Amino acid sequence: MGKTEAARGVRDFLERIHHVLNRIDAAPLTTIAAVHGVTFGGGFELALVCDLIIADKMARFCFPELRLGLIPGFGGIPRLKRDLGNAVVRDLLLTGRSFNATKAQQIGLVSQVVAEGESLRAARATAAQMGKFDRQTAIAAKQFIKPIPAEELQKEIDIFCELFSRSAVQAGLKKFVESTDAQPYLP
Amino acid sequence: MQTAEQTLEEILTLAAAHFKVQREKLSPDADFFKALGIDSLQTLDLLTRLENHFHVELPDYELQGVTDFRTLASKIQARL
Repeated sequence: MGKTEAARGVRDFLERIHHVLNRIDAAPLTTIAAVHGVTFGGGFELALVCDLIIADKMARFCFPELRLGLIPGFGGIPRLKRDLGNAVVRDLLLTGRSFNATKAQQIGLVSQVVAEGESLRAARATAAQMGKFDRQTAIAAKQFIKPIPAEELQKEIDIFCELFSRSAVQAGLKKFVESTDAQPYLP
Repeated sequence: MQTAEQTLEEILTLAAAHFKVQREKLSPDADFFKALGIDSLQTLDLLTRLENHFHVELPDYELQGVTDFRTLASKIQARL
């Protein structure tokens, strides 16, 4: 596959992912991410499109992409900026560190922290409560409190594609995939 | 505040119990990746369990290159 073709493939892939995630983000339903364990990169971005994140004590969040010479490609930065303070976003992205559910709740990312293995049960109980609300009212509220950062999301795709084309990134990704190190996301 | 030795002992006990390794087989200076037979995902699991147990925050980059229980204990002790 040639470089131009590969670049087009990456862009097509990102645009399709963005389309799906934007639909979930703006869904007329209330959505909940029930999180357990390692929630890095794309998994974290999927959680970020949900209206609520309920995590168990073993959940761990991270955006390791910058350490690989990339930015998150599925809307991570615009949605983090929408939901969290800028200082926290900088810490997460520029260090590539991971943090646990307790910290995630302290910074306002996670709405509930529950015992290990209990996130799905807690999410179902929360969904049952939210299901009692009038849908039209919930949709109207969601438009105010969860706007889609469309312009920034498009910009993210452009920047990701530009970074992805660099040979250093290809080498970094290859190293990451082939690594047997216990902390492969830390270069 | 608890001593460094107490912290070390708690780490060894927690690791042995969770990863089902006999406590006596874990020495403070052992390479915990090898001693516990853990991979990258299990390493994150251990990190989270230690943070929850000691109520501390352990940034990954501070633990980079740490391979033995004793050094790990010193990193945790510094945040208690």
